[in-house]
Amino acid sequence: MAISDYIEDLIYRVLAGDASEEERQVFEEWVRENEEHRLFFREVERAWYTGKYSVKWRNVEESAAWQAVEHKRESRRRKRIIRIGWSVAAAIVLLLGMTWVFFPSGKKTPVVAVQSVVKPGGAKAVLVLSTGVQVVLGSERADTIQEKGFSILNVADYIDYSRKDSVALGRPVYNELRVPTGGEFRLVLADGTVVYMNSESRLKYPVRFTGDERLVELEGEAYFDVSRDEVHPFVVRTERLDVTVLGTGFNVMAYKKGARTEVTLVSGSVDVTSGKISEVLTPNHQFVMNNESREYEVKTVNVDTYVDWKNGILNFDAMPLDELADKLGRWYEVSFFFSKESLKQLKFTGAFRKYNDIDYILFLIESTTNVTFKVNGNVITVNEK
Amino acid sequence: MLMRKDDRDILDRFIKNRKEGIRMLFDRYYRPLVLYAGTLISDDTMAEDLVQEFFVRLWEDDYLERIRSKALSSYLFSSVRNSCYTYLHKNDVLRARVDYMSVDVAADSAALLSQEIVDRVNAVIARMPEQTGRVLNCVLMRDMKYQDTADELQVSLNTVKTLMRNGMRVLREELRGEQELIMLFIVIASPEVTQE
Repeated sequence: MAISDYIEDLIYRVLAGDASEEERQVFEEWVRENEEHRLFFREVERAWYTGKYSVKWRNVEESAAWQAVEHKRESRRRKRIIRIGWSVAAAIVLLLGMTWVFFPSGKKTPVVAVQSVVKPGGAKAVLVLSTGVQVVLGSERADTIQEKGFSILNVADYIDYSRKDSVALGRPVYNELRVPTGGEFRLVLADGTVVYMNSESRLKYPVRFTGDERLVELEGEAYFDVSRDEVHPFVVRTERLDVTVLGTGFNVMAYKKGARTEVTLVSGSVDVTSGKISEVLTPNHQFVMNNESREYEVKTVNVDTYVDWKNGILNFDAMPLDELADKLGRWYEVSFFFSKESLKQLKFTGAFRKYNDIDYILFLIESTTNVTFKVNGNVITVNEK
Repeated sequence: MLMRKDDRDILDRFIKNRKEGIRMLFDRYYRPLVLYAGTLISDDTMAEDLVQEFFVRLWEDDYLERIRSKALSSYLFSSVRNSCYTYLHKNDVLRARVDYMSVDVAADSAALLSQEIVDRVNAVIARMPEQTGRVLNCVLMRDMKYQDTADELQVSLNTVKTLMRNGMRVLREELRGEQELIMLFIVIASPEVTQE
């Protein structure tokens, strides 16, 4: 069977979706010409798909997918149970009502309070000491934690390394602060720098700074109020970039799963470096990097929008709903499911206190955008209005 | 549509213990269905989502109790195809591919995948000249256009075409033997397909 290189090449490009409209017509005519052509095409096609699927096989992750299936089924069932629950409740109310009518002198009817299971976050964190010992923080009373002859002050919503009663340490000793979903925490480093940690974030730092620079490593989001020291620059290292400062206030958002890394400067000046990139920021400017393409830009922003979270406010400025959902998800420990892809791109502007119940926030979003929310346990479905 | 003999076991298990049956079905078909959905809608995350939703439906509903094992594979792939087309239609995206003939070779190929075939294909590609393997990797695995492949590998468009041809010929040769082997333990299912 003589099949020209041209036709063979054309078939591959048709399969790859890389042929022009005219080429596709040539191809289709060729296929219809006779049985031999058809069989040849089918053989090539089978090899094409088998090859394609085989090289992609490992990219399809199974164990997380199975968990997702179990989870989706679970939330579906819960939805159904809640629905049944409501009709039972309605029946009981009806019965109680009838009792009331028939026995008006009876006892008080119980008040059924429907409470949302979703709660706002709070001061929560785990401190990992150099020995690997984990200390759960966020208890009401203050105490001190001992670390290699060094005491760390532990108060309800922050820990403090700045007390000057420590012994000199030879080698740097590292601690790590991990803030879970639904958590926030404050940290005062040995040099007096204050770090506000947001949910799902971790910071690794030495209990006492030694050497030329004050280096800390961040994953997630934190606001730094760096105490001034011209001689020892303060460096925040993230997966994608380094932020170097002498003394200033700035916010860094560098979530591992996030689409972007953002450095927002409130006061002073910072250097942002990543590979060959080096940018100096001035106040009210933001450095944004696309985590995938590594493209970046420096733009003027309203800084409040980016740092208000540390003051207990969630502030959104024309934020796409999917990003907003990520932020609410981190704080309220919920996950959002969008019933329609396009809803993710709707923009929302507004601010609210983050210690409010989520119902209040959802209500505000509902009343200003074209969506409705349905809360089932910790899963919130976003539907078109 | 082709059928493999383990489909009977999956359905038997489903009737005895639903969760175990779904798990078996998942182990056997999840990857093939996602890969197939991925060729219909070029959004891999969405493909995974659609297939996961489909498994939830299968778990909750009774379809699998009524289906005959000969039609299982057809049923699964047709349902996923429907979900994909619904999704595409809803989002008003032009369908990228057209069915050239009644047999859905993409679905058949996905249904026949096994770890053994996957390993074999990957071994064949690994043995190919380095540049040929790279071209196959760009076009097949990363769904790249020819021109983008040429740019990335810094070769001419004609080189990409030639290497693609060379690579696919080796692959076809390898799979020709494989196909005969597969035919030994599959049966051609009767044409009726149970649709949702």
